Amino acid sequence: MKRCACLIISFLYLRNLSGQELFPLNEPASNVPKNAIGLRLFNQSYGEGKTIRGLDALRVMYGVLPRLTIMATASMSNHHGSDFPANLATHTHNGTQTVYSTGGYVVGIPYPYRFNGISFYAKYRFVSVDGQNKHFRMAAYGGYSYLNVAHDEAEPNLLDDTKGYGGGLITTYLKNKFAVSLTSGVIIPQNHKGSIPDPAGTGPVPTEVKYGRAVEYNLSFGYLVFPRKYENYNQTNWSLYLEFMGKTYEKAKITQFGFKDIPVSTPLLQQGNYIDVCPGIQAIIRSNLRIDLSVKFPMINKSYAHFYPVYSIAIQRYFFTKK
Amino acid sequence: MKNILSCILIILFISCKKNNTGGECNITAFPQHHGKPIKGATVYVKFGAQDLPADPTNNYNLKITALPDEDHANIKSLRYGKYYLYSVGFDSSIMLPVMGGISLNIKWAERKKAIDLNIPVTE
Repeated sequence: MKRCACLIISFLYLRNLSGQELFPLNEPASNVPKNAIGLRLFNQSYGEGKTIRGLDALRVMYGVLPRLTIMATASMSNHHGSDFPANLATHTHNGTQTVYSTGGYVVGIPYPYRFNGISFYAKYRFVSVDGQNKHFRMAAYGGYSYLNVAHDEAEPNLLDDTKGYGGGLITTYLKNKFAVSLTSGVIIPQNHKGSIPDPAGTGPVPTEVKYGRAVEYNLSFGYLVFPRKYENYNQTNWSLYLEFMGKTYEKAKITQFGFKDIPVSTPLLQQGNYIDVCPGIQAIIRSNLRIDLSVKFPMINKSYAHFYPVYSIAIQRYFFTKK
Repeated sequence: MKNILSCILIILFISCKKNNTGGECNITAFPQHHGKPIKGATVYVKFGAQDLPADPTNNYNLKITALPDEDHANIKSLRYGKYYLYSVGFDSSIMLPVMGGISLNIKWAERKKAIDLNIPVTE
């Protein structure tokens, strides 16, 4: 009886928050229902040379209010070492002249998996215009990341690369089986202090990287392909997605010895912008268990923070508490 | 009762003192250019800082100059806490002044220890 009640609640929830707006990579403006707890386990992986880079994360979501959702995501990855790579910056002597530069980029340095830290996220829906089989919703979001990662590219990422905070707006429109959502926001990363070995092979040189601030602009489309007609809550929902993930970011700044700004010559640390395209498919089983698969390809320019294609898989489930 | 509370507060206040002298931690700072010792260098210490202060040779809490034939500077009696050490010297092998800074965080467990610290410097 209890199980049946949970299924009905989750079914009603999914009818309210239709499957086609549960985008694999972006949040919709809709919220987790009040007092519901969501768990999401996801993996992102890509090949970098002969090395497979992976990110594993666990996200806990909670509906504090009908309009307010909070989340915390803990992640681990093998994207970076415990300190900056030795080739991040260097300098050479030529007589009395010293030439400082960022080093060449080495592909596929193997790193062990490390715990990155935790990122926090809150979303408040402030516009809801609901109609028969359609709705228009807007939400504001904010996030803070507490990470300890020796990220060595200019592009910030609050999930697993850079400590910092960010925020923005989400606008979602749904009509019948189709949903579209625009997420736009900013990322204000915080610096990371570490060290790199001295070019002469002696002790570590104190090194600080100030990452570029970024603007994000993500556009997501979703379409519910099955069931054509709802008959019961045990039907598996199948949706197709196409998401465009865009970002523009500033140049990074590297400081060594506490005062020496290193001229940036590698594109990894230069300002940049790109748009990735991410087709995806999703199954929602028994109105609750959600499985997402998506692949990321470059469309306009490319990100230097990862290689392509990026494969993402996620499994998510809600637990409805009685209150 | 008031006296006991006052005593507790005073003890807490005293025990929480940090980022200053008056402690038992001694630092031996070795300014080095590519691992080569820089003799007679000056070390400027800024208390409670983790970043290079503006104008570090004027904006400091402690200044220690090593003897001309010594490759280190002794910074004595620090409490636990955060410090920024900035060193200025002269590398006679390239005939150029060299300088550089490093942050130091003395943990509570290290408050009575002697710590050796290399300060990498550059021209």
